[in-house]
Amino acid sequence: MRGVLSRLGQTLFVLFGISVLVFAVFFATPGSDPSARIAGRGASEETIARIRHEYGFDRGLVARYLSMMDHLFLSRDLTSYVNHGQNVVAEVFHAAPVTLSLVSWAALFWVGGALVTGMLAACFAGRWPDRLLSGLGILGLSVPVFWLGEMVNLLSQSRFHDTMLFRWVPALGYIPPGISLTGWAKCLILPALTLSIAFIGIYGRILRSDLLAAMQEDALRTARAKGAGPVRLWVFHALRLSGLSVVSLFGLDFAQLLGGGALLTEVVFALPGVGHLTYQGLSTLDLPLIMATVMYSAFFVVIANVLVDGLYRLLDPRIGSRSGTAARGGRSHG
Amino acid sequence: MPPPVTPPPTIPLLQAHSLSKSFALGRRRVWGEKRFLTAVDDVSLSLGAGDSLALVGESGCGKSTLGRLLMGFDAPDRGRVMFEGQDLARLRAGEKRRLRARVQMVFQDSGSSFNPRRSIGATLAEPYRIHGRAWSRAAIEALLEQVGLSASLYERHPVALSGGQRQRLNIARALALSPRLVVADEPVSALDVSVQAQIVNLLRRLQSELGLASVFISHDLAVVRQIADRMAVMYLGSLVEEGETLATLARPLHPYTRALVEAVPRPGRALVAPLEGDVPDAVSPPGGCRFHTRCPVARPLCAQERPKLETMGQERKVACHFPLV
Amino acid sequence: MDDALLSIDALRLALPSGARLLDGVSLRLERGRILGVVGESGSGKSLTGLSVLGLQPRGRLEGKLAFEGQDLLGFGPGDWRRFRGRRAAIIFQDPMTAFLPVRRIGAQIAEQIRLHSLCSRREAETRVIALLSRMGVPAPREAARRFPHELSGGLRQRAMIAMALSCDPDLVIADEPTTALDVTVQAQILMLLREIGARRAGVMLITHDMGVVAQICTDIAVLYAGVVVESGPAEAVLRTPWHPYTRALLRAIPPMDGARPDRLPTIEGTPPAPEARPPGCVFAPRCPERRAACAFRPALRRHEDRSVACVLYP
Repeated sequence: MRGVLSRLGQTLFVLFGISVLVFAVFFATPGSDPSARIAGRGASEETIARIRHEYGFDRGLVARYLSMMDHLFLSRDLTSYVNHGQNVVAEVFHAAPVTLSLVSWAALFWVGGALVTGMLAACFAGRWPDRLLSGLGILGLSVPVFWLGEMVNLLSQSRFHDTMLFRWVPALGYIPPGISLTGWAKCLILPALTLSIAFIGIYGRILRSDLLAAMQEDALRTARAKGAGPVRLWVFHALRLSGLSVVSLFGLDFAQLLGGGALLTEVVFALPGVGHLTYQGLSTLDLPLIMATVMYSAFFVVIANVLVDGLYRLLDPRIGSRSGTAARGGRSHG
Repeated sequence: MPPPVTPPPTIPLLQAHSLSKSFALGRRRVWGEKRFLTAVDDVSLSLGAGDSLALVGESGCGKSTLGRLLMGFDAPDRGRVMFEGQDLARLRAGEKRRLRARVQMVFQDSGSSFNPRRSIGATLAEPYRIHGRAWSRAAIEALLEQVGLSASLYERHPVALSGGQRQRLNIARALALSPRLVVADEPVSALDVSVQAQIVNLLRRLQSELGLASVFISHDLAVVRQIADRMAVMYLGSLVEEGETLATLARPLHPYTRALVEAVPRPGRALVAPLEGDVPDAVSPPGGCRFHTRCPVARPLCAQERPKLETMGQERKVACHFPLV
Repeated sequence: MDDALLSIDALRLALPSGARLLDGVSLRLERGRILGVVGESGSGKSLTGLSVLGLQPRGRLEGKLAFEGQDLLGFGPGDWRRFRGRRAAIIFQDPMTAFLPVRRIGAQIAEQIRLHSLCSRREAETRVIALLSRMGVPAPREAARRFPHELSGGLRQRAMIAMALSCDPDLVIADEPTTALDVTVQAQILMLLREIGARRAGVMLITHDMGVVAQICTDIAVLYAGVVVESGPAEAVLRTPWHPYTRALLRAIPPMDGARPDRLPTIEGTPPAPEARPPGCVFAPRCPERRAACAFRPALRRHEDRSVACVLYP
């Protein structure tokens, strides 16, 4: 339990640090006077001064930081500087389910895809299926996601939209599962696949090398000596042993996608997710929006870390048990 | 190079006064007590110039930690280590560097302790360089021949050596600066019997030729018998018996020593399991005599009171309420 | 002729590069006997053990490898699966790495039982606990629920032996089963192994420790550079070793009794690497009794109940 408490402390500290950093960068960046931007192009000095006072920009940095945090977390009524009156907290809460849906579908594809390709490549290590999968993996890694997305759109939305193959694809955009569950799935399958291609490439390669390393372990020799067949060897022994590093990687990738890493995919497929929102905030230097999305994504990354840690402990009982043997005095035999 | 200072004969070369060392392990719960592993618990030893002493015991008994304390690699929590009458803890940096030249260590794992890209000659020149001493190719070739390696290996690389040759190189490196004391941690346990015999002979020869004092850390009683004049038996961090090697092995005073001797498999002896169970966890060792939980002759007193190491007869010491006589 | 449980004749294991890891291993093991396979590192003693289960990491086996008259070299994958764990089981040197670190001990033993017999999870569990308790594990029910790293070295090795015995194999191969253990625990494990030998199964004990062979083995086979150079009843071979290598090896062990010799007799030089084995007798380059005839590889010849491969014993 010590881990959880110290993790909580760490989490709070990290979130605080990020908020201070984003805030400071915003206000310390030269030529980024927010009053001028809010006032719009060609506004008079007086208007800018009035806005500066209204928004509290003439107060001390600490006071401004505190009031922003109050609006962001306590009263949750922080409004955009650019689109007047827009509640950014609500915006983020609207966008979050879209991103969560997209990333979850993608995770489904990439975990499944990586398991299949990684296992196949490891089983056929050095032979043609391995080389083929390795080539495909590198291809998937090197294709830019926005280009792939545009290609998918080109095929499924315009040129071949009316063929058997793509007739089912709905128009670009997001359909919430509350309105139509099948519509929700249909509108996400192609974006999620597009997003997952690169990850399948990476994860398949990692899993392949982990599996091959695991097959060399003494424990796997024991499994063979017990009379275990190939399926049991690969799935129950090697995969169980090598899944550990993939799990920790997965947690981090999943979290960073949730936090806005799926930006390009969201923009290409016109999905109003958090990445889209971040993109919007950055292009107009809208501090409240940036603040809200950055805090949101930081929150997810930290949460994911905690979850991965917990999962890791479940998968590997050696972690969290005492490390006393390492400090012991004598060594026994050669 | 300054001439080696010979200490007056009354001061032993190496003295350890009630050394203790524990390692913090971290808490099991947030509010739980901080736990410690006592690796070495109130150990006193002394070693004269040219003496050879073996530290014997099973895994986790603290023999390697004690070796590190004697070398000055780790600082003891309590107690002092005196080398040639000087307290290791009070030495200034420069003095400590000079001491490093006079106390050397040989480790068990001979493979990984060499830089594979450095030639054997350069490997052996390193100690001279570190300590700012002059060296010559002839001196290093003489060193190679002293440990039974061919001088022609000078330009070769350690990868080309067999396990036994690597251990010879290890010994040569330790001898480069003409130390007064060598601490060897399981120097032969990774070697095959036929190679082991070669290294044991080499260590014996060097002891007598160079008047080298040596501490051997080993779990192998047959090797200890061949290599060390005195032995000290450790169990869960404390010394349970100390004495002349042949006498101790022939007639052990402590029941644990007897069990160790009986457990050595050899022809012409029936197989007996001298002790029940495993060595207890060193984090929470049993109270009273630490050995009482496995001792075949334990009595109620043993669970209550911890026996002290006391002198018995000629040059023998034992920590037992009911020593075997 | 083939009433032996295990009969190996002129077994060779060669790598594609031409290096011969095993270069003529011949031995016989009968039920109820304990055969000590002795040699230094690189002699091929562990490989011999692994080869009997078809677990040699690489290379191709040639020669004769028969189990109760059945040719093991003709086995397909399915034959091996039914053979391993059921007819022959192996105990590895380091039970810490031999067990899967992420699964409970009991589950790992139960897996082997369920691989070879149709029984429910619960039946397997009951058998696991009975086995552990027969191996002298205190509180077997709790021990079965432990992960490997939570047990002491001695208990882990007992669990390993329990797993090996779980399907009542006819042959148990123990590969340096006590090397990773403390001396006082070693004796406990050796006593367990001797009991297995007394139970109609054959035990092949792979070790470098002549003392261990002397104490629990009925027979011995001495390996040098991938070749069995001498074999026979353990007592006779240890008392009057014939092969110059066996003689030298026994002399190199520091004595535990009697006077302390000034110098231990040694064998000069080092064993040849697998790719540089001499064409004649493998021990000839280091042999004090070397003669012209050693340029040809001597066969392992039988002399009553003992065998030796040396020109001194034609």
